[in-house]
Amino acid sequence: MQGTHCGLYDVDWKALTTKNVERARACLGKKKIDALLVGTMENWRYLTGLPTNFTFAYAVANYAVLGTDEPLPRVLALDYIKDAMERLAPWYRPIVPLPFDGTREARQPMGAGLWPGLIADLCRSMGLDRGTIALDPGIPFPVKDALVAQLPGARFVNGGEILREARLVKNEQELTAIRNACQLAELGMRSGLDCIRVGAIEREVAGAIERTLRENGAENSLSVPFVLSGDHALLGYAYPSDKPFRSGELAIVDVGCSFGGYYSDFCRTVYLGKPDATVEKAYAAVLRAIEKGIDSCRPGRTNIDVFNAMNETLREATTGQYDLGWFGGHACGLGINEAPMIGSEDGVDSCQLEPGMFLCIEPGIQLAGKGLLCVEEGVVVTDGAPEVITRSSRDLSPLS
Amino acid sequence: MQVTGGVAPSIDWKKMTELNVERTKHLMAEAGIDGLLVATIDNWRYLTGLPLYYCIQWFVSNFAVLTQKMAFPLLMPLEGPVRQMKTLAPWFTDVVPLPRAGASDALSPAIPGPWIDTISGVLRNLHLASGTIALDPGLPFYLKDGLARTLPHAAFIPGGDLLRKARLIKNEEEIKAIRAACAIDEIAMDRGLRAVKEGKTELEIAGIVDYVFRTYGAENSAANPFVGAGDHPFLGYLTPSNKVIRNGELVRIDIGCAYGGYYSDFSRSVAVGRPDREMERVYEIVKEGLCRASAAVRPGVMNHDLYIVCDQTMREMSDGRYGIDWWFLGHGLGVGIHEDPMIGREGSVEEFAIEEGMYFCLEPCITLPGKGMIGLEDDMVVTSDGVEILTRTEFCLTMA
Repeated sequence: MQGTHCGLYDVDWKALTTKNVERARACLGKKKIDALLVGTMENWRYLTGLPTNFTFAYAVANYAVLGTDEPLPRVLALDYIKDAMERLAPWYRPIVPLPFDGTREARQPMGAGLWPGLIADLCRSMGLDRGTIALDPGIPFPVKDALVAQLPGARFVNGGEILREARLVKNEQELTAIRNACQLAELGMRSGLDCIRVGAIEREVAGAIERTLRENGAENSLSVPFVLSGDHALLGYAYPSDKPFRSGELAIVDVGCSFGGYYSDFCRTVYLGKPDATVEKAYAAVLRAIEKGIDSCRPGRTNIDVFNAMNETLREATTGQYDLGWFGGHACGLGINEAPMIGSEDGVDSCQLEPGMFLCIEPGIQLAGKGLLCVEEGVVVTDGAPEVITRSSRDLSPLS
Repeated sequence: MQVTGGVAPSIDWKKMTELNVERTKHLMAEAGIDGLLVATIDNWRYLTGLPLYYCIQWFVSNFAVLTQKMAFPLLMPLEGPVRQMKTLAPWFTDVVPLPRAGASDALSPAIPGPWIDTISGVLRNLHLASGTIALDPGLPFYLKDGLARTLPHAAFIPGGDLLRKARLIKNEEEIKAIRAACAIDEIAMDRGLRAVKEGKTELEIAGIVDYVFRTYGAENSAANPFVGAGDHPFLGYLTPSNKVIRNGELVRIDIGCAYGGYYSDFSRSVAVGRPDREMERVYEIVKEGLCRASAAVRPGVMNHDLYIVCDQTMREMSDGRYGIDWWFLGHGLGVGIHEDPMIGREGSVEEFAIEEGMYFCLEPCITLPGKGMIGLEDDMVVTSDGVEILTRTEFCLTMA
């Protein structure tokens, strides 16, 4: 929620939350559900707009209840940050403190101690003790089991579909946060690409990216920046290592970060040395594929159409040598892989695209002996032409 | 899982997992538990030793089951990382990849998909259909409810106590990883402290910390690196921020990182410019409180007594003016960042007799309004007859 020296856009957090709540409430209404209880970092963020420290120790450490009678949700938060939260967002006053001392919640693995009782008290005070309450699907089972015992008259249902439907389409304020996350990731990308040269190591480049993200006010990196080269990139899901970049290798740099909880995620590939005809041809095919994919991100088309457009283009351009398998991207927002996924008909569920969706399109292929070749862009679906909101240069040579 | 010659002695990852599994199986037998299902990033790491990406999506995304008959747990990972896992740890012979779940379980927010059937099928094949199965307390409720439905004769119980007990005592291989995390953390602390200067921002210092973590081989930061200047850390909870560091302020740096999944977490404070006499006096008080409490650590001492030693030392040195002003002095560490034993006031934290192999930090802190925080923290491991302090950064108020 801060930026030092890049031109980030202002986000109106209260407006963002108000819009999110309206959307969630509409989804609740359709299913005749009285309230929604959230507890995971991302769903809590969706309903409250409030930041938390990014650490898995707090993956489920703050709660919020959205009822039918009040415009905004009621918030429960860790006791030692409650006052600061109230100062930041006075519209949530009073926040119910969740105590850390004398309870099983202070430690990992977390247990259910005092907190379910406090959540139940709040639900009771909101008249929900005989209501239907949808639960964030990520709420740990000991908490849910304790709530069931505390509120025997209430009916609990899985809120996964409601939250998914609510989060599917982003409002203008959410998109502004995502645009900022993209700008920050571009800065990270630039500082990473600037370090790539023969003999540099993957971790050095990843470190430069993380430093840039932090300095400029990204809340956290999406994950470890994926800086992987040569065969190391083909292992799948590796951490950047002390492997040096070598001549004749491809290096991928896949970067994302959070601004206000909303993620960006995009990727570039560079080649160490002068690319030969094989590499150039493959790269041109991937670029052609992503352009087709981007152009397909329009209302009325489906996620599978986007995949097919990319996959067919890639196969044509390489006379069938390469294809995308089943995967071509994913939606992104408060989560990293959100619905809709971009993929093949037998790989993903079909979904009509709508204005306000934020999609990360990432055709990637493996070049034996050279590495992974992937380009990824963040695309906003609009009423008209798709808007690409990641803009880093796609030059295959790192230092140009 | 990279071994950095400089900071990490050779860690036998297979042996680490064998020892963790053996300890867990012993505790399962004692408690009459037939099977254990883990799901969260920390419990997965404890039981398998395998790295997962540190990102919001992977906090609960890969599963493992342990029974008495197994030498190593059966893995149920996402499809993507299977190849990497088999390369890193070929000793895992039973691997059942989770189905792709086109748009259900693997996305955020999750909706129930094929995972319930995969997991219950595995449990059934392991002859656990009418057994007692302890569940990771972080398991999302909908998965537990689904397992209870598909395996109606199994007894599902919360596995929090079992896992807390298992993780409480560290074996020699775990301690090697912990030493490496502390060594990397020290380097980041040193660079961070020396970079503190009027005119810099908290974020700039935090960026240096992130850079050192990555380049020296840490997997991830424990949380957002805490760099708090002046009054800022107790006015807001968004630390670090773009707050400019000013002359006459105190800067507290409290940072941790994971090596091989095991965390460090320690802190130092420095004065910006020449410290005044109050700062110097209070620094000595906090330092003495920490050092006397650390020196009191040995097998048999009670966790509550460590709190008393620190509090009384600080009060004696300040004629009663300063003590520990809340319930908390420190916490256990390991694959989590807030584990047992918690160190604090009687009544607020559960009583523990300190034992060899426990690993925790002590972190007394005094705030000087208008100036900032003086917080000093060390990580230590309990030996057969005393304690070894693992974080060695010097205590120096004027290090900046």
